[in-house]
Amino acid sequence: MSWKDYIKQNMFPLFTCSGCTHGTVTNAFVRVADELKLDKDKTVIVCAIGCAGRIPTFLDFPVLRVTHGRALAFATGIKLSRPDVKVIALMGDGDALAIGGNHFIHAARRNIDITAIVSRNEIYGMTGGQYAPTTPPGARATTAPYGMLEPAFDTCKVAEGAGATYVARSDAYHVQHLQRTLKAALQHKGFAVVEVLTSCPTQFGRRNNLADPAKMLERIKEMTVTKAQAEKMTPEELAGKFVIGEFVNTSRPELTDIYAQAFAGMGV
Amino acid sequence: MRDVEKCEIRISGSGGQGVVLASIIFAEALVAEGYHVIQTQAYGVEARGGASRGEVLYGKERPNYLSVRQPDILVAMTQQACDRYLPSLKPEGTLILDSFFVERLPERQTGRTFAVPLTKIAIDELGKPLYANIVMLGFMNGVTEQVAPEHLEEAVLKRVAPAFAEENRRALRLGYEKARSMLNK
Amino acid sequence: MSRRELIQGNEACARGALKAGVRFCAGYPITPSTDVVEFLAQELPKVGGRFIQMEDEIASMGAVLGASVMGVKAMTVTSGPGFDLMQENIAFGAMAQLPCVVVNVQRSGPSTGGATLPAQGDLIQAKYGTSGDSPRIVLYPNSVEEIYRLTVKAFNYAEQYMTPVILLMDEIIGHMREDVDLEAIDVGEIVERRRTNIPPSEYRPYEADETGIPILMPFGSGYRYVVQGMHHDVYGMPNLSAANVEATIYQINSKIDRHKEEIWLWEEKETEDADILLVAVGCVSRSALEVVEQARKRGLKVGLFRPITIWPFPEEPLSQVLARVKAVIVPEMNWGQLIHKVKEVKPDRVAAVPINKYDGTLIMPEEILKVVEEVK
Repeated sequence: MSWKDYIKQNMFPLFTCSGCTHGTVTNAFVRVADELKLDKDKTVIVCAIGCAGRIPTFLDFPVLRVTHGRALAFATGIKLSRPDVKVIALMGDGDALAIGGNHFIHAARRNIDITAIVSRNEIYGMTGGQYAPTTPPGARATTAPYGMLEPAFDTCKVAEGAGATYVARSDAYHVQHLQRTLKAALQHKGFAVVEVLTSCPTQFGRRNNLADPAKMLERIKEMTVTKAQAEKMTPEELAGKFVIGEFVNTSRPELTDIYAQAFAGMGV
Repeated sequence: MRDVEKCEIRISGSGGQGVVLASIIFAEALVAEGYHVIQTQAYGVEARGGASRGEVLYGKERPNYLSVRQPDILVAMTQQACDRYLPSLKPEGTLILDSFFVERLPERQTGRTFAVPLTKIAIDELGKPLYANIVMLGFMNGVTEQVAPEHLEEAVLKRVAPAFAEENRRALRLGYEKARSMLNK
Repeated sequence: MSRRELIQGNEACARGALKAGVRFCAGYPITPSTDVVEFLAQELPKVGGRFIQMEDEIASMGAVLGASVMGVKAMTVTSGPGFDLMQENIAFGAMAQLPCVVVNVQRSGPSTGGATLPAQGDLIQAKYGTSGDSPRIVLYPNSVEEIYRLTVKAFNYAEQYMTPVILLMDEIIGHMREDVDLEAIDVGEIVERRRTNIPPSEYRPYEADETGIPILMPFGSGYRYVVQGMHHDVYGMPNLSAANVEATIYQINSKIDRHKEEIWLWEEKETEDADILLVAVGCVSRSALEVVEQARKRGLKVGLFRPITIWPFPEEPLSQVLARVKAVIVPEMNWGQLIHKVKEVKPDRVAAVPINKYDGTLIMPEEILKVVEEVK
């Protein structure tokens, strides 16, 4: 087996725009899948709508691609009815945090054993550049022609606050770090969230003087700091930065285990 | 027991008095008696304190329609319920009023009107007003004799907490005896 | 010795689901349907099944379809406002061809309306509540016993035709109790999802066989493919070519059309010589039955046609009866929904008379009888 066995090679290349780093996340994911030797027939990928939601149909797994925002709701039904199957939800930031925000926090609260990977490109790409709950204040979007007026979500804090037992952030520039992080998340038992900073030169970059894909990657490099670096920085210096690394890696009873224990000896 | 072709019962009061539960219990006793039964209910706006009613339709044949139109038996456990539902009672119907709550007795006298302090009996004899609905069931069956007392008791015990079985048995008996004594007067 | 018990309609629904083999239920509390999920929360663990109360009805419907894609018989239960929220995922189920059962115990609407008031306002929504063209099988019981039978039937149809099936109930029927002996009811064969032994390398999940219905192997069973709501090819991959889009829409709709005669269920009472036909569903049909009896005693030739399958609407059986009558009366507890289908089917010479009641109370036999006397 190689990482290539985890994709439908005949379907490639991806439909994504040049310079899009969702492909980088996909690449990291299939390499980790191969490292972990994920059993393709005992794993289900759930995804939904948007650029990040469509890419998983190119993976060679059973893939359930659902209505916008609802990946984690469907994933909950999959995991609860078949706890032996590994469930991975691949989502974009609008999908997971705007329309799917309610399911995101409740999946975290339940600590159901699902790995949720959220690609944060800070924009709605598929629909043509509207603002997301992750668009930085002041940035331009087609629905924010005067600049983004709302503050952005801190995905990791939302996940932590809601009870996720593994929470980490990585990005499409530091690919080694990204692979390590995805690997840890996929091995975690419980609700695991990885936010991955990605870039959309076409829809975000063009409107924000970052149309050059390389410039967008530079931006990711500049705005990310490690936890160790962050500890030495003042709040002023940290403004606009994203800390990468693990924020939560803990253990508490997982939902399907709680069910199994509660009903042990009952029924069949 | 009386042999009934077709009968409609409406038990009305306010939320918390157990009128819906009483209708379910009586319906179960009627099933044990061999009748075909439909039990329905209407709740008030609030779970507690709003107008509430439980209804039972039964007969030898399965009733077609699902809502009591003109009850043969009307139980009213509040003044509001009495005022509201009395006009629906059949001219020769049986009216049972909880005189603890129904202070203004209706001018219209039906064939059989019984004003009984059901809730007062429950408080005085059993220490709690919540047994009033069971006292009422005992009373209603005492005056109408629709089901065998043992069927009614079984139905009551099936629906109440086992720890309070004895109180409920007593409630049923108190109601039944009250009915027999009133009929003998 | 009969073992007749007094059973509530909603409980009969839950027990029918268990009889059919339900093993997953996700729901969200809403009056007047909640008794069903309460019963299943209690009973599912005892048969190795799972119940979960989700964060809303959207999530409930999603979780149910998630369980379905794993090959598990799954259901959700709701009422009007929750049914509204489920529509998008119901359409997903229709498009992706995932079986499941959705119970809607109707209450008075629109919006919050009256949680404990009966109404029949969701007949059209049950079929047409979603965007695009997708099929729907909708069953409508009128007694506690029939709730039990039709819940089993709903699961059977769902698995057989690979589509969500709606069980539409009235608040009155859901909340009322009747004496039934459920154990004695013969519900017939329990339908299980079709399987194939085509090797995974040759498997094309969305290629329908001669029945027009695809065989979707459960995820996690060695077959890897895509299940999605986007127009897709036989492998489930996105495909927006005209030929493919047409094929998708044709497949999901025609599979119900061509089997409609097997799906239709209806009841006729005294229709052979009827001059006046009543067409009614659910609780109203019970009042209509009483009207037929009373009218016949008065020498009036009144009959009843009761659609039990309301979608696909039993057009042909009804039109056969309508060809013989002089007038048709359609009593329904809404602004006028069922009557549209009746008008579509009836000959021009037959007058169609609506009785619409939307005050949150049952249409009583007298109200129908009055119209019968006017029409005769």
